[in-house]
Amino acid sequence: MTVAEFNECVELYTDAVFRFILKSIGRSHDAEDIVQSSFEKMWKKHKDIQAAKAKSYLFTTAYRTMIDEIRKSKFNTTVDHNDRTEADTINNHPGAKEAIQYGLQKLPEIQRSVLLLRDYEGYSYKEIASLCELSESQVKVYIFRARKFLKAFFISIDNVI
Amino acid sequence: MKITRENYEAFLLDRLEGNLDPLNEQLLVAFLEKNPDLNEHLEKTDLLYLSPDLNIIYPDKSSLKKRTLFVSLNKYLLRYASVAAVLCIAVLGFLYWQNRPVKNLPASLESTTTNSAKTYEKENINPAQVIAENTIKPSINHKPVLHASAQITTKPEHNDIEGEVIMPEKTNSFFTLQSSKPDLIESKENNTRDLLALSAPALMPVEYSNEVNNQALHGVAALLAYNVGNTVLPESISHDLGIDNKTANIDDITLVVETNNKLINRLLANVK
Repeated sequence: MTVAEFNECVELYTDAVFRFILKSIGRSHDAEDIVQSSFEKMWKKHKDIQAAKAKSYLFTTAYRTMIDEIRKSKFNTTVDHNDRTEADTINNHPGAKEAIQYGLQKLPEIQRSVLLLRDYEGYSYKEIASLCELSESQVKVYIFRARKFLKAFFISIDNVI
Repeated sequence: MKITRENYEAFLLDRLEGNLDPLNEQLLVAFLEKNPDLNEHLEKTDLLYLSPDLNIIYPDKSSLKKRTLFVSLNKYLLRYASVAAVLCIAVLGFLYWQNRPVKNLPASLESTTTNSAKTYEKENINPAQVIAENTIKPSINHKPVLHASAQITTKPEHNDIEGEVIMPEKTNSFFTLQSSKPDLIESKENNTRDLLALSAPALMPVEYSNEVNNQALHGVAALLAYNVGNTVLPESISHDLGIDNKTANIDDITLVVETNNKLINRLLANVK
């Protein structure tokens, strides 16, 4: 990848990877750090990376960096399915965007990641499997569970409102 | 792939998205019927899909970009180029100042020095070599005299002294130093030698000579005539000149000067 291609990659994918990370961890400052760190890692190896695979490399790096940061700082905000309470959702997140964000944060980390990659970035199941080092079947299982949970989550909000 | 409790949700997802083939759909239904706790999935239900929030943008995208080599080089090149430009201007200014024309120099002399330099360059003539060939070594101290003497303006006073050179009236004549005064005539040999040395740089093909140069050549010729008196010219020279009268006189030698500079060299060699 040339310098120009790297810069083009910055232009094309920065916002997307930032959205992905922000929606995953819910903290803007941490998301910015992870995006910056991911691009720095990619820059160090930019000569070895093919331009066609730059996006995949970037998201993979960002995802792994995020996982590392989550484990390092232990700010895992995910909540087990059994712990979720609909009352908290309603009281703390009256807006739709905030409700979505809150619902996402209640998803297990891996479910949230694969769902965002699928819905936000349009990755195929195969691509997501490669990116997250999972089997394609596992990806589908996680995405199914995430969709099922979010549907139930919003139905509960709607009923309460 | 066999449907199990671990992967049945993948099949459910494919069915909801319309990607499950009829055979696997039959297998899925059979699996769900065998597992009563999963009966709820027998009915197709919609799932929730998210759409990206495009209002979320990275705050400082440009900070992530890298400068290209061209831009980096350009930055340094511009810096050094500006310094180089200033230096070039300073050097050119200094050279111009060094070679600026001297306003007080007579126009005729100015053109002489310029043309002489050009002529030597064009003809590949080394003035020092010319002098050496004439076996008359100029003194370094004489060189400035060449310029200084050119400013001397005299004109021949007499033409009735025996053996004296009759010079055409000229201004700024180089060889008007050679007046008819007896004291100068007494030391004519020294003067001749010196003046020949001085005039050596002015020896050039006639076609490139200008007025001042011609005057110098006339002067050389005059000195030769004066020095040799009525000496008979070598036959080879007179033959080259096409002169019937083998006695040298000012007109003949002037003719030599104006005709062919090579003959001048031979004459100078003969004078010695």
